[in-house]
Amino acid sequence: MSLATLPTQSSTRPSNPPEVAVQAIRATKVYGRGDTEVRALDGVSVAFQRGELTAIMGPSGSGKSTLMHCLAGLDTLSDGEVFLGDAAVGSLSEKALTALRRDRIGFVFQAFNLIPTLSAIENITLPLDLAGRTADKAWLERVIATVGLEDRLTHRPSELSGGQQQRVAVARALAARPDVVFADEPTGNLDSRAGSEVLSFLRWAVREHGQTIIMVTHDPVAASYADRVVFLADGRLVDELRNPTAEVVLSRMARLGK
Amino acid sequence: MSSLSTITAPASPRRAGRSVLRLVRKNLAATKLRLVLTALSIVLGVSFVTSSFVLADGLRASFQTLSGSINEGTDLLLRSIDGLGEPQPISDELIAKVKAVPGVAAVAGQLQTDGVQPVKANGDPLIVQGPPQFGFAWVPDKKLNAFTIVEGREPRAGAEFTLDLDSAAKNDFAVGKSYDILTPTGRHRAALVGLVRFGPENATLGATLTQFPLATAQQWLGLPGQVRVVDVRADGRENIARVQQAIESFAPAGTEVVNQRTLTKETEDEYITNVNLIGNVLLGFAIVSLFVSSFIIANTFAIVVGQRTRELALLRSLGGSRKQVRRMVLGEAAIVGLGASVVGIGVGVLVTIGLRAAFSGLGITLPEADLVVSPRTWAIGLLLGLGVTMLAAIRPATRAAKVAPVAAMSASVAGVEAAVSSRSAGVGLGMIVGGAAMIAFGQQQSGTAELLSVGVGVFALVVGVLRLAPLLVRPVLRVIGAPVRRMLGHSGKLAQINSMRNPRRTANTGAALMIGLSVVAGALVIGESIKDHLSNAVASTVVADVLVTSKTDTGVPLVLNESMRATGAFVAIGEIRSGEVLLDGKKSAVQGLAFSTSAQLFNLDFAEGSLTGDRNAIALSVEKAERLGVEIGDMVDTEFPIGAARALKVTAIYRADAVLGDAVLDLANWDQVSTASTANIIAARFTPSVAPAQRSQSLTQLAEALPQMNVETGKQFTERISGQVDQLLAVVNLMVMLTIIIALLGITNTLALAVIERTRELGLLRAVGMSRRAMRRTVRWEAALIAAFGALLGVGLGLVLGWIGVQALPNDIATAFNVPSLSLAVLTSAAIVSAILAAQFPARRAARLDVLRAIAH
Repeated sequence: MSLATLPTQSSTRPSNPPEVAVQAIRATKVYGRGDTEVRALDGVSVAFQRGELTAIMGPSGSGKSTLMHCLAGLDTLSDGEVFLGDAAVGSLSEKALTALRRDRIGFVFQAFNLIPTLSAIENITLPLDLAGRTADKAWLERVIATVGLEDRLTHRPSELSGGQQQRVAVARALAARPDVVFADEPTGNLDSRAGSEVLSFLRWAVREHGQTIIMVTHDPVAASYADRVVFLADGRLVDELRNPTAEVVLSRMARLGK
Repeated sequence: MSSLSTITAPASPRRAGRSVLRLVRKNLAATKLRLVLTALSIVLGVSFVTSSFVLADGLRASFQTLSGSINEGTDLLLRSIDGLGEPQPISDELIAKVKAVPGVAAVAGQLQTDGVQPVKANGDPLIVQGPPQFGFAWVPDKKLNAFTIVEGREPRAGAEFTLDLDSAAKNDFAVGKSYDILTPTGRHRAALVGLVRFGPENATLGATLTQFPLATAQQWLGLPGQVRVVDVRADGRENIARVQQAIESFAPAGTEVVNQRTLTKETEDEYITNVNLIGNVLLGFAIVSLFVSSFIIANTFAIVVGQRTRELALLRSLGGSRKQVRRMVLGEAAIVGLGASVVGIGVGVLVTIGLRAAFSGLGITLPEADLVVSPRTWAIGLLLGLGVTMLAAIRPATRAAKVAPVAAMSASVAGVEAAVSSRSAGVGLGMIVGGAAMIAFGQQQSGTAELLSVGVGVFALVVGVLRLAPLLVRPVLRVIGAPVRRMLGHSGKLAQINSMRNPRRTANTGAALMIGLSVVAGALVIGESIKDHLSNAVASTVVADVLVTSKTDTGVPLVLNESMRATGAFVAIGEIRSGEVLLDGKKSAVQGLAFSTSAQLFNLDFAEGSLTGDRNAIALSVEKAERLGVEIGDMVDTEFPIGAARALKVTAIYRADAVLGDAVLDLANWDQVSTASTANIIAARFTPSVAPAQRSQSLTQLAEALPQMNVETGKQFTERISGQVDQLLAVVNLMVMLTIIIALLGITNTLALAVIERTRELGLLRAVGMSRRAMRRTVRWEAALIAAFGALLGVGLGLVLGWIGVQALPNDIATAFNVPSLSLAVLTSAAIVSAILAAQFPARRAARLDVLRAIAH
């Protein structure tokens, strides 16, 4: 099977009636052995709806980052399975995983998001360039216009503010219209204004274009931009909330912390 | 979702490739400093390779000018067959005979002889080291004569001579004046009547060329009634073959007639062989320095990849494949390699000029030659530079490709490298043991088998040590770092810890130095052992008070014997002459000695027997007797260059082969060996009644009278002979210098990169109160420790290599293994001091870091 063609054959995949984009089934991740054994994920089963912004929350060490890494195929599970659409991520080869990341997943990280030697526009089109594909120009222009970076495209990351850098990163994640965008603490390094700009932009992608986004955060304000929040503690799924507000999230978090 | 396929066009590998290329280009542009540092080692390596080719090609090209002029007018040459000993002269009566052959247009007798030195107006003889100093007979026929008069006239008769115009101009010889001339027959005086040009451009390659009337030349060059060759010009090309046949019909036994083509070919072969030798030796050193460069390159790329881990991980998480990451690193290597190679070839031309200067500084004058950069030089330079860089980058590139995408999300600090795998250590140890076994096995063998197995063994040994080196870093530095720690306190401690934190990096950086130093140390050990053996052997052999030898290897005129005897100061005077004979069918060098007087001049250190004044006696060295399988009293079939073969009786077996070689004949036999009127050495012993003051006065007088000779006491002679080893060592060390410079650059490079890598932690150190001075000291001493590690390993390996070398050398060259401790200690200290200097730049950089920005890094 040609791996390069796999991701674009989305039209031939059986449609998932409940519109599940990503799904973890009894996901378990164990680090170390014996006395030093740590169960970062302990049988987590969770599904993420297509066209929704889902936030994963939890105290430090709850396994939220590990869950995201496993969902995105960056890390492998000790047990259980992750499905991205209908693809069982755990069974994919290294090459297939690379193709999966390249063609069906977008990433936004907390820091060091951009290649320092490339300009903003070169960073945005990098995943497409790596895949050897041409960008959909109209889409690209809309994304860029929405993030408001038209006059900054030729700048290097070092010449951009933290908020601008993160908006470039989000634009990059959206440029190839991936099935899912994973965002790891996307506002963790930003002040509240820059953070809300980035979050609004993520919201816009979900609202206007039905983009699926899964975001790890510990900030209740960031979580309030989500359609749904799932709470993790000690490697287990412990709670869930629809249409959250910052206050409710905060109170749930406080309860988890006890 | 079904709309997805319409958004992106089909994948295009070319577009993807372009994107990788763009990353390569931008990365290189962003890291100019690293780039320059990496490129520098390649530039140096390639420049050395280039210069070895440029030098050899230039010398080869200069041959065209030379050979064209040498043999141009000569159609045929009558000469004695090249057999045993030096070519024998032939009777000049043949000239008239040849001239009578129909079809012959012109004939000339020639007796080109080395060792003819005109004496300058100030009394100093014109001495050149290297190129010959030929005396010729003047050839009246213009076409047969390679010389053309450019000033004055030709030498016609009696005490007249001409000189080549360059030698004349360089040494202020003026036409019309009279000068002394030293020849193998002694000192003569002649009027300089003209200056000549050799061939079209006087391309003498540094030689001194004098011409005399034929009769004068025969007298002064010691060949009365004889010539060495007869040059023949036919009247028309069509006659050449016929003339050749005619001459062959009456040519005496032991002579041959050859045509121009054969002559040119012979000259060319000899010349090209020499040039190839020089070129190959240089190339060998160049390849060692490229090998060393490869360590520096590998190290640089490894560090750069390490520093970019997060960036590489980001690429991978954005969908970059392993292949793309690998290609990116290799692409960077390719561009650096190619660029550096081009620069290296340019620098190589400059290095060639420097090399020539260095050679002449060592007293080895190379012929003038153009700087020729042939397409082959370009091709090999580019290929080697590019190839070595790419090969060195493979490992870092593979490691880069293995960076996990998840690393993009984890915080990274300048790392402490994990210990080296035990498997790698096992392989290293295995190679060392296997190599040692190979060497031990090889030492039992002889000839090619010995060379091959010792060679393979040494290679395995070196590679094994290189593999094991990372494992040695921590234990070795723990020991040698301790005094630094005690001396410098906290800076010393940090320097030690930093030098130990990345064992592979320290090992690689040190390895470059190790290789260079092991070659130097090995050469020093071998040289010292040879020197020691030589000076012992020579000192114990020479009993004479005075030894006279030629400064230019042209021999000492035998007439000197007479003039020394006339002084009345000596009780014994004798010479050592050298020639060639066949002993039991094998070509052997043989020395001639007057058996009756030799005991007063030389101690042959007899193992058995003694010299007897018997004309049919021969003395052999212990080694030679063993090789021939003969003992005292046995007969040895001896064939002479001149005269009939005879069986000689072995009457003595001696140990003093350093001075007297493998076989000694009584001078009574010498008329059968050689007609040369020169000796190797003339030795003399003072009459006991001559007082010390008179002795030294007599020596001074002798030296003044013989400016072209070394007039020495036994001690001086011994020192000069063993000192020649130093000259050879100087050449080797000069070649290795470049390797060591590359290694030092590697230290600069590694530390500069380490400083960049540790920006944050260095900033922290400064923030909590470390002074700039202490910071500089930390970096400098880290360099010193790395260098000390490399130097220790290098000297250790060098001792082993030296020992192997001494074992492999025959017993008459080196016997005992001698360690030049002082030289090795100086070498090690020099390496460490140089490393401290090499670390100056990174040290300053570290000290100048802006604290706030460093922490924010």
